[in-house]
Amino acid sequence: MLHKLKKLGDESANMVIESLAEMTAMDVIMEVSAVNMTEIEQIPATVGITDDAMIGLYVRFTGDLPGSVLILISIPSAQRLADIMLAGMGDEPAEGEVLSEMQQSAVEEIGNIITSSFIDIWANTFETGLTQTPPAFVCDFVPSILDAALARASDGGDFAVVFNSAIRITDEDIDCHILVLPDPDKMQIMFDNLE
Amino acid sequence: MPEIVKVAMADLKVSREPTVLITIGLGSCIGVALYDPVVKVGGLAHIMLPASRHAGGSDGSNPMKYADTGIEMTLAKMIELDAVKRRITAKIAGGAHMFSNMKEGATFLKIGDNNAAAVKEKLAQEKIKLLAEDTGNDYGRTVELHTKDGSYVIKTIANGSKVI
Repeated sequence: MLHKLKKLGDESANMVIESLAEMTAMDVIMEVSAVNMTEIEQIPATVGITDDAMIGLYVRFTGDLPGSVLILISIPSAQRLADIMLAGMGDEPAEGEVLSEMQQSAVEEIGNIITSSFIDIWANTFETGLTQTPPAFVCDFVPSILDAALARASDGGDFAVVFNSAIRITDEDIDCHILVLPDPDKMQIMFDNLE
Repeated sequence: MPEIVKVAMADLKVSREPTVLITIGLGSCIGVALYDPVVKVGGLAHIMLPASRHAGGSDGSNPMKYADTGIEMTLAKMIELDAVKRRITAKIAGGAHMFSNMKEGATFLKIGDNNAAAVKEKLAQEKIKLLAEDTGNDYGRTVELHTKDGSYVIKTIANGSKVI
């Protein structure tokens, strides 16, 4: 089962890479793609990135197989991604902000693209319709962002399957972590289909 | 330098002076800091959800995750270190709406509020006085409970630090 989940994770991550490469016209590589079935409170340790501030994009997908996507991007990476997306047309962030409004919208668009790449593959694999919410944008301590996303998941059960990918755009030194977390109480369709 | 004791998500630790109990990056979770000023014993619980009855009833569920069972366990462990229940007071922080711009069902947005309410209810039930709180809003908090004096330091990325 874990092997099949891993294959699904790889396929989805490849789709993300294709979409991002198309959008940025740069080399995108996947550094890690792992699937774990774990106690929810152990997930921060498996993500294993900084305790400092990062940009977080949280997206919910709904349908027969609902869940959450959490994208974590370092602040400099988000700024560079926004600049690439805006082709140098972006404005400067206001005093005390890390991104301008336009830059933030550009980064949110990345969240949309990453999420839709994942859920396209999932909707095909499980022959079901999935729709996504607009991304919620935060810039805060990584553990605080994880904490809120995981508390939501934890309400539905103690264990979760988590798809964990790290993606890098080599030319620009951009890195980005993607966590996909099907709702623990609604995973049966996934297991049934992968039998 | 006092020893630093880290508390993970859905975890709790108790210790005597001189130590600093730390939990990094609370979001919608609550950091419940309990303290007995006479023996200088502190306890810090990182509470994730309101009550163990929400756990889907599985017996294997981690009791440290919930307001009711987490607070009970912290009190019991402090009493093992010679704390006396009627002297123990509480300070709480966290319970933020991290994804405040999320257009989704109200239940999700309310996890932080529900956690704060459940923690307060449990403290009242245990007759533990709540001395101070810093809850709600939309930002993360890193907290430190100093067992030398019971001070509770709250640090944020963009909203400064404070001691309650």
